[in-house]
Amino acid sequence: MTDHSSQITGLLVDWSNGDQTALDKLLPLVEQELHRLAHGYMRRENRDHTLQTTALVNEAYLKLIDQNKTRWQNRAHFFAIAATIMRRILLNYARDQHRDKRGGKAVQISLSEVSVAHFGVPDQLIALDEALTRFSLEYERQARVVELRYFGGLENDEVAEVLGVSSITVMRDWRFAKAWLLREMVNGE
Amino acid sequence: MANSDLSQVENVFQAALDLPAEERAAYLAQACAGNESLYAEVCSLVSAANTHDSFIDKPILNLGFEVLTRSEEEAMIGRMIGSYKILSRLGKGGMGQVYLAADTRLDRKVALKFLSQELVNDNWAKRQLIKEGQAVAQLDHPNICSVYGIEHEGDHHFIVMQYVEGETLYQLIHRKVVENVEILDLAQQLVGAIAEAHNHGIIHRDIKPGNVMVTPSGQLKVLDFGLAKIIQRKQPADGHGESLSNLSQAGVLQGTVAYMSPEQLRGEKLDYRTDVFSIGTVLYELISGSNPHVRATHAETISAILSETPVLLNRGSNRVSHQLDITIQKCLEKDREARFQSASELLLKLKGISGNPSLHNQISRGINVQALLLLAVIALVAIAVFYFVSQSIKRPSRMVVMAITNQTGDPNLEYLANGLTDAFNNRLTGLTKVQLKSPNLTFISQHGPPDPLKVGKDLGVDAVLVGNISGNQELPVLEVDLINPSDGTTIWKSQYGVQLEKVFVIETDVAKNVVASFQRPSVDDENRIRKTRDPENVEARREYWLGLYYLRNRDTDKLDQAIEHFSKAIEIQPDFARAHAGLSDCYVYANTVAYGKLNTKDAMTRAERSAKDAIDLDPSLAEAHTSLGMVNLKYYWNWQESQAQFLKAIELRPDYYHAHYGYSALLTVLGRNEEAIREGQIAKDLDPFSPPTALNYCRTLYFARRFDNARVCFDTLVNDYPDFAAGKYVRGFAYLRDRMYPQALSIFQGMYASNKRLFGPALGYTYGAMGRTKDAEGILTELLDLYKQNQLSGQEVALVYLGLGKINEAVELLQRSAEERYAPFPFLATDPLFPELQASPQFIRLIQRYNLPLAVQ
Repeated sequence: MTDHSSQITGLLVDWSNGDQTALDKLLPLVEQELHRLAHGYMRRENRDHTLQTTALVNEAYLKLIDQNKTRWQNRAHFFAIAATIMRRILLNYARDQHRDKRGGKAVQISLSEVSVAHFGVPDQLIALDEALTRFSLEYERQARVVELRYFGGLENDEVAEVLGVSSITVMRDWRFAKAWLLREMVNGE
Repeated sequence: MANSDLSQVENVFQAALDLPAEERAAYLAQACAGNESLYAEVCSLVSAANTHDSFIDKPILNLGFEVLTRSEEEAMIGRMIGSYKILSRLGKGGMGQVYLAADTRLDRKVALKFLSQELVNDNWAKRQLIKEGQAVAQLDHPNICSVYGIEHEGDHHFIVMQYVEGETLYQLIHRKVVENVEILDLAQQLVGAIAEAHNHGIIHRDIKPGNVMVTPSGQLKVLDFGLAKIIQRKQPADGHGESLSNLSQAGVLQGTVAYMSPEQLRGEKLDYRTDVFSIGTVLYELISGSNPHVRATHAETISAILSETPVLLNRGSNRVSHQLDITIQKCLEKDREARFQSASELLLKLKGISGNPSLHNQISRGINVQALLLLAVIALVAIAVFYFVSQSIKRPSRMVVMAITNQTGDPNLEYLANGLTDAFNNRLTGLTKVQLKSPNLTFISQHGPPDPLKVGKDLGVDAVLVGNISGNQELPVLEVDLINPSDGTTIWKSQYGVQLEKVFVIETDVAKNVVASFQRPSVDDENRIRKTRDPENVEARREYWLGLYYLRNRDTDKLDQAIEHFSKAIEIQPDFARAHAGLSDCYVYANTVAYGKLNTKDAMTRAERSAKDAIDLDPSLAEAHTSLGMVNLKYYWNWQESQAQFLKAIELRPDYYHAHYGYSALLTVLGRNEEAIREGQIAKDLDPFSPPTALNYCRTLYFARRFDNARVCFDTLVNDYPDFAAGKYVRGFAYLRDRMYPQALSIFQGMYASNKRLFGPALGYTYGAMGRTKDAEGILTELLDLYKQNQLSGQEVALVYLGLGKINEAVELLQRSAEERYAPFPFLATDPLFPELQASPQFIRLIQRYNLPLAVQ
């Protein structure tokens, strides 16, 4: 546990009880810790990054949170935070790449580009983020599902836990969201 | 769309998808009857769902991880932030990173100090920053680093400052002993700058060597005015000033305390006189090389600032003018009323002083009688010391540090003994008047505990440093003796209670005394001893020592533990260069047949990365350069880079046997045999008790085709170290070259019995060369099995083919093992045992691909 842990635990509890401002305070603290841990990870086992990232967030959780004071549900909430952070980090990265290379033109996607299963390209990431933001204005919970799954790597049941709905709802939300986003990215600007 | 419409869209969508595909169209037509927009909306969504695109199914964690692990620095350099192009990182301040940037509008270089996210989020801090920035921007003085402005670009908030090229006072102080003339000049510049700030109502609050720069032309510039207030006070108090607990919460206590004034530490309201105190501390350090208040722990340092009077600069020597000495003392008065009441007053005083400690000057300034007496006493003592010293060793000397022994009976303290030995070696290396022999003493214990006198005589040194630890884990006690090996007399001895936080102090004390024991120490040596930076973190050091211990006594499990401990040290203190170097060494061994669990590629890439990290952090680390040289020699086969690294290591630390050892091996690979012999010899001199080093030397003789010398060398080696398997193994090959088959056979048959996989190839070759084809083929079959199971390198199998004269089959296997970078491969190019192989055109093509030399026939 670090010095921050009681502070962070408190914020986490607040947030899971519905206090939105707690999230704003939580984000920079957790992000800092993730960065720090990530550097440590590069020195160790070097297999699948997906496993690593999950392990990383896990470790951050164990380090930052006082286990005695939280319920087990809070673990999922912590991962949800990690998802938000990850989204933010990736978007900043994508925007930097984009700005540096293109000088700030708007991003346009064609269907064939969108079909690429693995989103590594900055432009597509920015487009996705914008589409997701628009989506969240109309369908907030479904957008949340996307964020948790895609950026946070959470499984359906974990998403269900965070959002307080059933797994089935999550799966339906997911298919709806995917359809909406796909359509949006192909058509819209 | 209204909310009810939205949920309707979703409901219809879900219902449609729940139906089998052929029923959807009908359902949609019915559900959306009369509502055109709903129909259009849902249809487009359903058709999107039908594309079965997996487009966001896989989480983007891979990329996320990559981005997370990018260092802040990587993320920044080369980017444009506003109209500034980031060029390189200059360092890390209390508020965030500092980068060198090019101002593309005004075409000049500037320094950008980025504010950490925490500060930016704190509105109070931000307001304060702007206020202070405005005040400092008013300052225009040649010794003050100008602030051009505060800007922000997206998430980034930064201060734009004048870029000062040069070094900080911290670096200057640690680089050399500053001459008196220079001291006065720097002092006047420093105080002049602060006086100017005071005239504008600004208190600096954070004057320290790290905040003062000196350009190559000797111009001093003070940085970071007034900004300390903002980091130090995160929550606006009720005007009571900063308190100690606030300071510690903001994490400021790391290192900055040492220059704070008593009133700062007590959290009282500050005035200009606090800067006077800090200036005094800096000047004291500039002259003596150490901060007068720093102790082993922060708590003690604080206590010293609050209540201990600093020792006079001129005690024990005549370093500066007495006037300067007492001026500085006056700056350091605990009671601010007793100090100079302003920087201007101090400046006036400084201008009236000359730098020379000559008696004439002092008398002419009306020195009082007491001081005269003091001087006389000092002179007496100085003479006495000189007399004593000149009784002991006079000429430039050689010494060796014996491994410190653990006599506590507690095996958990082994690592401490090992670590202290390493620490002493590290402090005493590279001196001009004292030459350190640092042999690898691991193997010597095979003959029983070494006798310091014997070792000293064998090595031909003038002094042996012996140490032992007694006591227990709560308080181990270290006793060190510096012994003259010719008669066993003690030159110097001392005892220390070993507390991990105090280790640095102990090291320094021992080093100073050892150096002083030989003769009047050179200024260079004094600087050298002072120069080594303490890793600062006690826990990190402990982990590092544990890592060292396991690495030295390595076997498979211990190596894993070594890796763990080094990694831990790095986690605690990421800039601990030697820990990175240690980790690299672990990985270089981690793929060896005897020790490792990792495959070659994994181990070597990690080794390389760790070595590079170490070098980034401390380019003067010979061990890291040697590691990098090894990795390039054993794996990347980049001969040029390997040579560059070994040479660098040797340049940095000529007494480091491992660098010469590695370089010798490289030279052998490159066919530069005479040079290889020389380097091998040097390595052996520096490391006389080590079988691997001796073996390397024998091998250089063998490769140089000095077969008679080689044979004698091998005989001696095997005689001295009968349990050293590698020695017997290589000697066997030497026999083969000389066609002494019975002797070779007897060696390899014996070894084969103990390990078929390791020694089968050599035996197989021998059978083949002797014409015992059946026996050779029998072994070949065994080995081919192992090869297919990936338990053996192709080269080892090829060896048997070579013995049978089947060159083509051999070359085919060799091609593959070369691709996998099998470390022994390069030696085949010039090994005197394989002339037929070396004549084969395919083999020649193969070795040319790797820039290996052709054998001399």
